[in-house]
Amino acid sequence: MRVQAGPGKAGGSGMGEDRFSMGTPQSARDDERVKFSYQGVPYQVPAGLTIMRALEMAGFQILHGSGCRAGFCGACATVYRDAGSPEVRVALACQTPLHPGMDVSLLSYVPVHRADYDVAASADAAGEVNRLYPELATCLGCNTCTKSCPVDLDVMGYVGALLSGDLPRVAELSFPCVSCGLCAARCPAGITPFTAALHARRAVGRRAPRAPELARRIAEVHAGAYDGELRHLRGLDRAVLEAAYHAREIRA
Amino acid sequence: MAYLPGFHPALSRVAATRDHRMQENMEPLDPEAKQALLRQFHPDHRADASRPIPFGPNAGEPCARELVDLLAASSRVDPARVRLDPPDDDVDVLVIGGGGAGAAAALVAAAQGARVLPATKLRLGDSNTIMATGMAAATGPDDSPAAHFLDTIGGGHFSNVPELVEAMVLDGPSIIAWFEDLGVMFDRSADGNFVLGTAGGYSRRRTHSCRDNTGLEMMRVLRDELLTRHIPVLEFHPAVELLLDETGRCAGALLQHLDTGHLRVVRARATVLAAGGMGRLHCHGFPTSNHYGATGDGVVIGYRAGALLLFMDSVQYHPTGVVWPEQMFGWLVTERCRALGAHLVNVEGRRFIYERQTRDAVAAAIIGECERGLGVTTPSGAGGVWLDTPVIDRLSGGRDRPRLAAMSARFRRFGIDIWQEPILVYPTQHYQNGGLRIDVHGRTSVPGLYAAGEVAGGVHGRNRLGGNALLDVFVFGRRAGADAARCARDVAPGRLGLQHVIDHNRRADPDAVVRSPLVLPRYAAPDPRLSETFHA
Repeated sequence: MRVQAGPGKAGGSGMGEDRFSMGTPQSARDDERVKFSYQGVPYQVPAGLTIMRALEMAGFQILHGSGCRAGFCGACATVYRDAGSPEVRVALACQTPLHPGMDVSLLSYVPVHRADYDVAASADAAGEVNRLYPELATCLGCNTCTKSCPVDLDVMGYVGALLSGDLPRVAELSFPCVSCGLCAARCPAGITPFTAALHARRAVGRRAPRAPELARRIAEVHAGAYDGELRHLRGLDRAVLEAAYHAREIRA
Repeated sequence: MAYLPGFHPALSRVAATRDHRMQENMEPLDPEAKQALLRQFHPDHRADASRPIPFGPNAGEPCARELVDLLAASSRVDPARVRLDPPDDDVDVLVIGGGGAGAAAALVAAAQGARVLPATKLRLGDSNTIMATGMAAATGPDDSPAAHFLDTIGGGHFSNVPELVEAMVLDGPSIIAWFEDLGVMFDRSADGNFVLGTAGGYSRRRTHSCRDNTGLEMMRVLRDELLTRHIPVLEFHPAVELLLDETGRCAGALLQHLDTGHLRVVRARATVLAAGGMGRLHCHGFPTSNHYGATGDGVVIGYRAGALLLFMDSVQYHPTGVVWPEQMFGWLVTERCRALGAHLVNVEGRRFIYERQTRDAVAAAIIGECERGLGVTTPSGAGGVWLDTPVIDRLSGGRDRPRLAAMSARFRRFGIDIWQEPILVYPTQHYQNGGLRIDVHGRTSVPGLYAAGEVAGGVHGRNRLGGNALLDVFVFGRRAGADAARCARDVAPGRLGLQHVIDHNRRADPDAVVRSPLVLPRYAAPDPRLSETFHA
């Protein structure tokens, strides 16, 4: 069960006796109502909502499929079909305005494949990713993954870069990935592009040129180089500390 | 939904005044003026903002009223009906919460050989961590942990627990190195140095970033590492009460599966509470930038188990939450916009506050501007001021666009080009400044119970600086995980009990319609066939 219908009266999970208002100004136009379906069952809600808020306004308490509600976390992967269109499309429910006539279903979990690796160990990360994800080589070039990405990444482009071993290019193209899993759910070749890309990004991050001063700063901290200054600050009277704060030099 | 025609006159005033404003020099408020502004307009200072906690270790102390309702409510657990023996899981360290603090605690405890069980309400990573834009750490050549300390403690109005601030600023550089080793892709210049940003209240450039997906990048790497280490994570299992043994020591927790409602008893030698904050309580009816699960559960169950709280009357409202388009209402507009030079502008096209003041002051100034009738009103009656993002483009010649790539993409989806048009903003509930009192190892006042991250209080005093939350969660998550693993070697929990919940339920408000912890906000529209009182 991904959503719980109704305000959750007692029984079942016992998690829904209490109601709590969203407490925000009405973010919907009540004078104009829109029809949509959730898993084929019709509902009517005010116009101007995202898919996620439309579900809630229709009475659903979302259990799986709501996370950050701001487009970062990929919890709310959704499949839908617009009225009159044959095409099943994908979206993030929190990021997508409801269209009248939409038929929607949350797809809040994709059982994706990933391979274990030690990010510190491998000398040949590009070879390792391709060894761990041999199905990358079976890419049909159909571009379904790219069409399925709700944050508009060039997924097929980075699959190509994985195959050619250009990991910095993979990192560049895949960086905003929200790990929703839709690319893997739709790939006809059985590829899980985003877990392979995460491996590639970690390899790139691990091998990036290190900040030259960081090791020295850490060594200073461990040697106690700042302890005296901190002890001094901690020992100051409130008034003296406040004066020191307001007098500090701003170089930001 | 782009800006409706009703916005056009106000939008043209923003464009028409931009050149002039860019020549203007705004001065920071002096300390007295800042305090006066806070007293007049910050929501914490409203007469009805807080209420005394009715009973328990902090009885009589002020607390955000929305949280008092939950602290005083009966438990959602009826101890008389729960069989605790035998436990379902028997572990060294139970970690409650799947954000940055919980993931860090679990990794560190497991690395020390502890048997670790991380349990989380939603999915691993569903947290505020994942939305964070920047992480502070004193790594810059002209920066130092002492400067970081002074900025943090001044930003917190000198109310911070100094030992905690000291621990945080000293660990900062090592946390960055830890993430380098894990393969996090920091923004760097060609020579390897970090691209450092700033935030309100900083005296040095100090925030590290991974484009504007910093928290996302760290969280997905930590999640991947937990999976690689084969640390099993119990998702969709919120903790609904802690368990205490006969000596009052924390001995695990009672979890409840979100789907089935079945209870799961976890016995643990040490428990790390990393359950996050309470934005979804919508204090004063504010919207929130927080993730779906931020319902204050950690403070509720921790307090019930006897843990002391700090600063629970202090809530951070982030100055720039989205007001328009309405589908984005309450979402955060990163402070980086102001750090990169965006102006805050009222309906007349005038700046009204030094934009890099601390968050509490900037939020109060925006609220004040709207209360004085100088805000911009949307068709549904919400008010806000402009955040003039095109200024960033003008100042940087377009070079700063990649640093706000994720944010501009989100606005583009709703028809707004932030490089051409300003953003309408108003404060949004963002952070719980207070929480469970901890020491530098993350120990609460209850033996065997640790707290880390937003659920803990004291590090930030009464106002947190931007970039310090992301550092805090990892510093104290790691410290708590390490100490919990150490402590688990030396202790054995006694008999699991819920006597503290029985005692709590006796004192709880019998008239309260809610039971706590809340677990999820109630956003589902009520059944129109039923009266409110019927299903309350």
